[in-house]
Parts: sequence; structure tokens; C-alpha cells
Amino acid sequence: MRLRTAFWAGVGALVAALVATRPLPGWPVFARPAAVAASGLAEAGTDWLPVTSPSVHAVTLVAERDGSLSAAWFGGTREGARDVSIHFARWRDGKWSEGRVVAARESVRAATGRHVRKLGNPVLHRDRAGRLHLFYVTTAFGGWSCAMLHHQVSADGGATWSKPQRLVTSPFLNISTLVRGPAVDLADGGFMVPAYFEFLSKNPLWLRFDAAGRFVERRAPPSPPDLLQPAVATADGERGNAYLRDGGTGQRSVWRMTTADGGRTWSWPAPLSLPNPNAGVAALAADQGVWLVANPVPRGRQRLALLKSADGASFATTALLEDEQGPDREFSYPALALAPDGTVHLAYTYDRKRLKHRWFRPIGAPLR
Amino acid sequence: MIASVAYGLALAIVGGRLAVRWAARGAGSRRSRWLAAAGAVAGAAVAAAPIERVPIAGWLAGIGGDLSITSIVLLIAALAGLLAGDPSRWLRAPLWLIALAAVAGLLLWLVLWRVLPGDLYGWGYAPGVTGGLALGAIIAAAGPRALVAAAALALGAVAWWAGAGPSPNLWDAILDPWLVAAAWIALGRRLRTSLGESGGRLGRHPDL
Repeated sequence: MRLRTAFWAGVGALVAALVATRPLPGWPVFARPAAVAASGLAEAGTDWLPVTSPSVHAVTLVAERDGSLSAAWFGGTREGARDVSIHFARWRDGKWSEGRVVAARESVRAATGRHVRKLGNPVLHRDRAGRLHLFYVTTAFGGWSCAMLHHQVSADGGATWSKPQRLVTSPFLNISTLVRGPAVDLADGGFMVPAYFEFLSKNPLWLRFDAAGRFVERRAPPSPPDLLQPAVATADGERGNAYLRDGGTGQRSVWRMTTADGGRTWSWPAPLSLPNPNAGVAALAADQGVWLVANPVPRGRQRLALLKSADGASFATTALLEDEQGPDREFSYPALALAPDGTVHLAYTYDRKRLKHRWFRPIGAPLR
Repeated sequence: MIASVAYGLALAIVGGRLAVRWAARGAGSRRSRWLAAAGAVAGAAVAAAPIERVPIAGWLAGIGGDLSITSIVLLIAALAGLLAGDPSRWLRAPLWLIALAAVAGLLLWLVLWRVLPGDLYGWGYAPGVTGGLALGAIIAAAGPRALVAAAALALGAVAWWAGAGPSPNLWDAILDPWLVAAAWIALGRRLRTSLGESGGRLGRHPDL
């Protein structure tokens, strides 16, 4: 008995030593971001992304180094249908390529050997090594609140993709981790993907990946319930704003939380005086301040506006992008990307049938 | 893949136990072992049967999520015990260990759902000295009397340390919802047995 006790004491000590000494790499600050270096934006063009299915939604954009764009979205007969897949296209020399499927229910099931019911919300990210990362949500049962994340990588600009990898990010059946907003580069070559939890409670999450694209950790900043889909705009290596969709009932607003230490810690979110109809927003850092595309109304997604703020908190509409009333009208889920030449690209859902692409040239003196 | 194998193990155990239950009506223990083995094979075959090109175990893995290393080791022990003619032979654990698993799982979920504040799950990415000492002490205390449970926890911790497994979080390596549910069921049974044996008062039962 004594020998057995001594043996297990030794095993316990070994486990204690292993667990205690496995370090978690410290949270790096944000990489210094590109920012809109102008006081204004003037519309320079409009286009439509390729129509790939009767229903399309949740477009995500990445501005490539050569000025082209990569885009992904989900499309099928309707949101949540079994035939919904993730589509991908490139915008080069002012033209969109044909859209093609890069992830479908069948391909994810074949790659993971697991049941997958439906796919949704993709997020594209170009890491600093040039690889294109695609994240999207899938569910095996239930609604979107039961979703989990899958991850694919392309080293050739989206021509070919790795097999889908399922990310484990939640302790309860791995459910309820969703993405919508674009990732933010970190100073160590890794990146942070804004995500959210929405099973019983809605709250923002940060998913950190290292320079090799491996998932490192998930952080849940403190927040009140009903806030989701954070869109992050970083001002420099330390400071940043996250704008959140209000999924609550009653008087809804866009909420804002801030960080002053590169995303390590975040302030308790506060509502802005900007109404929100339970719809996602897109944010882009300016030299001083933030550009936002949002539905600035308490109800409905029939109005979409470009807004600007010098302090990150008080927004004024600079352009009304869409404003058409009607039961089937919807202009929503905006995505913003800043090209190396300063052009700001915007894409969004247009009536759930098409995806509209508009771009803007910087005008006026830089704000610095 | 590992998760599908784990769910396959679970179905094999279900098959084996059903066969044993059926055999218990009249068959001898020697015969019941063979029936348990046959039932386990049948359960594994069901797990491997495809529906829409995905094995049934893959359907369960899609819905039920990944199992912890602890659970996988306990499933293997359960199957071995079943085939040896004593299903609970390797699964005995002190009451305090079962209660700890049940309470830890519940706390994890309550924090996840914002009923309680904090980020208990996030702590599992870097449990540090506190987490290491706590887990080491649990293993040292449980080991002499619950060999398989302690070994399962130790294996989970070592796998997490080595970066094996689908999650970089220690919680995912040592605890999962199915294990927590099993712990709560075991606690409930223990409570019912204790109340029954002591005429309403809780008795002392070190092992389950």
C-alpha cells in the first residue's frame, strides 16, 4: 500500500510539474494597422459579386497586396438550407471572377467524418505570411446558437484549400462559437479573430491564433448579455475599439468596448447613441477615428449608412448608402477592407439575393 | 477520427451491456461473457454503419462533440471490465472524485453561460502552478484506490502538455459534458442508495 501511495504521489508530482510549466505565450499587442488616411471618402465605383445561388449572405472581404480582393460568402436556396455552401471569388482588374464553392456540407463531413447539418458565416483573413485563412460556422443540430467553427487555409491565394479542420473552442459539446467580423493582426505574426457565443447568453469572444495559424486560446471579455458580432478597429498597437451588435430586446444600440493594451483587456461595453436593429456592423480604423457601416435605425435593415467618428464614440452619417423601404428589402451584414492604395472597399447583402460591392477613394487631408 | 472511435467504443459498451442484461435471464457467467463480446462487436458494427456516407459514430461525434482523454480511457476500461465479466471493475472511484468532476463541470457551464462571472474555461489554456498542484494532488490522492480514474486524469494532462488532442485547453483533455453527466448520475445513485440503506440518513460509501 505504501509503495502504491508513493507511486501515485510521484505521478501526481510529475503531472503537477508538467501542467505548471507549460506556458501560454503572452498576449502580443496589435500589429500596427493600416488606417484610412483621409478626412473623407468619395464613392468611386459599384459592382456586384457573382451570383452563385438564389440566396446569398454574410460576405467577407480581404484586400490583397496587389490591390485585388478576395471575398467569401454563404449561399444556397435559403439561409440554413442543406445546400448552403461557402463560396469564394477574386476581384482583379475591376472584375469579379466566377464564384466557386470552397466548403460544403458534404466536403466538411467527408473531411471530418462527422455529421454536419448546415454552414454559415464565413470570415476570410490574410495572415502576415501571405496565407489566406477561411473560418466558417457549422451546426450538427439546433440553430446557429449551436454552431462551431471550421478552419481552412490556402497558400495560393484561394486556388486550393486545406481540408476543413474543426476547432474546439467551447467546453459544452463545443457549441456556440460563431464568427462574423474580420480578424486583427497581432504583433507576433499571429492574429485575433473576433467571435461570439450565443447559447443562452450572447457575448463577445476573442480567438487567438499564432503565426503558424494554429489556434492558441479563446478569451471571453466581461460584457452584459445580448452583445454579439464584434467588429474591431485598431488605432495602433495598443488602442482599439470593438463595435457590437445589440441582440437584446427594447431600445437597441450599437455598443462599444475599448482596449488600451493591444486587446489583452477590454472595457465594459457601453451603448452608443447609434440605434441598432439587431444587425451586424463593419468598422475600419482611420488615422484618427473610425469609419463604420451600419443600419442606423432601431428596426429593419432597409437603411444602410457610412458613418464617421473622430473619437470612436460619436458617429455622424457621411453617406446614406441604401434607403429603400419594403417588406423584402434588406441591406445588411457589411464588410469593409482597406486596399494598399487607400481605396476602401465595401460589400454587403442586397435583399439576400445579391451582394453589392462599392468602393471609395480617400479625399481631403489626412486627419493626423 | 478519435472522437468517432470513442463513440464507437460507447456503442460497443451499450451493445455488450444489452447482451449481458439479456443473458442474465438464465445464462451462466461464462456464457454471458461471450454474449457481452458478441454484443460489443454488434455495437461496434452499428457504430461503423454509414448513413449518408458518415458512420453512425461520426453522427454521434458531430452532435456530441469530442470526448476528453479521461472519458476515452474510462470507456476502454468499461469495455475491458464488461468483457472480463465485471462491468464496473475498473470504474470504481472515490465519492469525492466523482463529486469534484460533477461540480467542476457544472461551474464550467455556469461561467460559460454567464450565470457566474469570470472565464473559468479560459483558465484551462494556462492553468499554471495552481492548476498543476491541484491536478497533481487529485491524482496522488485518487491513485491508490482508483487506479484507472487517476491514470485517465494523468494521461489527459500529459496529452494536453504534449499538445496532442484537438484542443489546447486542459479542461477539454480531462473533462467533457458526458463525463460530467455520468458523474451527476453516479452521485444521484449514490445518494439514493445511501438514503435507502440508512433509512433516510446519508451513510459513508467511499467507493461507487
